[in-house]
Amino acid sequence: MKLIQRTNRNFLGILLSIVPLASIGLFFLLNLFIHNEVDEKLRVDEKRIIEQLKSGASVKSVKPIFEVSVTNNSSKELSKIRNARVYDPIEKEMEPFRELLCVKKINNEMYSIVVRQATIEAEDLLFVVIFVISGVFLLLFVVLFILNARISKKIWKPFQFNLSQLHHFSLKSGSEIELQDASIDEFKELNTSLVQMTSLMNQDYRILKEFTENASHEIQTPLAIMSLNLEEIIQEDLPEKTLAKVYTVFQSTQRLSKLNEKLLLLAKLDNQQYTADVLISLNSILEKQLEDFQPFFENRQIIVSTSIESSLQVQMDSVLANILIANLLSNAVKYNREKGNISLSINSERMLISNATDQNIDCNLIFNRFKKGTDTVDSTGLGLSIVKKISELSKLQISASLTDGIFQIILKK
Amino acid sequence: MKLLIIEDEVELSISLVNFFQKSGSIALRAKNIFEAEDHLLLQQFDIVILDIGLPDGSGLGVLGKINSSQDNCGVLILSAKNSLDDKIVGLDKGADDYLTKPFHITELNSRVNALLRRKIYKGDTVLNFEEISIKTNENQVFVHGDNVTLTKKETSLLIYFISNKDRVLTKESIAEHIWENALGYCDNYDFIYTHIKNLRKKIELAGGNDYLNTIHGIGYKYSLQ
Repeated sequence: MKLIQRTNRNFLGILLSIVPLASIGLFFLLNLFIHNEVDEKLRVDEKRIIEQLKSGASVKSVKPIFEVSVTNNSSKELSKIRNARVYDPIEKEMEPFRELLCVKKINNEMYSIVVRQATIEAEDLLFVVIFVISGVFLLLFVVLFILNARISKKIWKPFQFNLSQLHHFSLKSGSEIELQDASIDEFKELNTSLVQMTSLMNQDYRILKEFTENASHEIQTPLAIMSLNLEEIIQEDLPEKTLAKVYTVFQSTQRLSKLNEKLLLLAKLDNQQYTADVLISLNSILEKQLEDFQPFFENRQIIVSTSIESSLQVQMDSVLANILIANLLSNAVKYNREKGNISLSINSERMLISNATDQNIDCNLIFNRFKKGTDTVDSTGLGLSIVKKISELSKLQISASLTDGIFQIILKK
Repeated sequence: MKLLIIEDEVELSISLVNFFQKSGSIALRAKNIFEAEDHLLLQQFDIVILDIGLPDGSGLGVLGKINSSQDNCGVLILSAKNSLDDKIVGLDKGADDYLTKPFHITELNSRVNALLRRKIYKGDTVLNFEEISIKTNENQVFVHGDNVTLTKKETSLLIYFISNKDRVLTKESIAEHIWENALGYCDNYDFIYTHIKNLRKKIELAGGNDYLNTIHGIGYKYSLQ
């Protein structure tokens, strides 16, 4: 539920409970107030009539407003105010009146004086009160609703914008988040925290990436020393068993150093250190790489068929283009079956490389680091991650599929 | 041959010095630019092996000193950074060759020898081993004086074997020599057998001896025995 809906709903709920309470309160208050006023007036009228009577003037009754009569059946003076319903000869119906009844001895005569004031019927008053209050509150609500919608749209605008910025924020891009300034303190505070948080995250991410690169660099030299000395030891006249062991160690350092080179490459790709983008024809790179891979194809008796329809031009770094193609070919050889085949097809929109394979490959996982075919021990499991990373950097779409023992990778522009 | 090895990793430079001294060369080492300049001012070298990342600056800065102090000297750059920029800048500033760490010492040896032939002997040297001789600048191979047609890769392989004769050459180092691609994409080295088989066949067909001894499971050794 949106914040504005929530507040509106609460607002409406409060209104609905306040309107009856306020109406009742107002009704009683008005009633009391009106009675007080009316009573006061009645007393003033009474006084005026008494003054008139005292001065000896005769006072005629005007029904039902006031009635003056001489009474003899009461000797007690009294003065009381009460509600009464009296027949109004003009309106010709019983109307509610407030009446003051007074019995007073004036000039040795007992007078009975009744002064009346028409009052509003309670139901009428209540109806008016409810009508007015409801009307006022409804109007208030509608006005507030519209105003609130408008204002909140304006106030939340920077917030919505910043939210979409957050949605698109990626550590990989390395760019700082750009937020719109808000005039609301809470939003300002949020923005400040977000900017601080993301810049810290960026910094940590950068440090982590640099760490990978630096670590790879530092590992390179000891590995070189190890492998140099092991090669020297291999030269010596050692018993066959010892030689075999030394050679195993040597091979492991070689593998380690290859792995390290690939990690370094990935780190450099992550750090976007290859930016020398030029327009490259993947066809010519493929042609050259196919020549280089010839011994690998021959060795495993793999038949390569190529179908070149047109030239695929891509804006990318030439070093990366070579690594991309070499990795794809290497992969196609590595996971091929003996006497298998590789088929390549290229046109101006896409490049397709497929190979026969006996492995059950999970196409969702193959681009992840250190995911590798189970049968091939001599694999670092980084080749296709490198391929994926390079395609991303070169804005190529990559997809893989496995159908009926044919593994296929498509690079699309 | 007189070598100067400018490398800050002492272990590495000692290994290199030992290697080159064993093959009869004079090898000196410097562990920073300061020491390197000392050596360069006092003596003449045939080959300088230069590491790029030195503690007191980039090795590229030494290139100017080498040019001004040495009459005729080949420079081979070593770098832990597999960066194309370093390579281009290095070669532009007067270096002759470039090798990325980690490397096989036989590869370095082969490159140093090639550089020596090109720079010092002006390329007109013939590499001899018994009845086999190679005119390296023309890429021509002769057995008993008769020209044998080898592919570029086979010739390069033969030069590599002869430059590193009497040494066990691991199949890894051979593979990397033939296949210069910096990242070894294929970790399977079996493909070198095809090249070696063809090379052996061609030499024997021309009446040459097969000096290539197989070291079981490890690689090969080019020698008389």
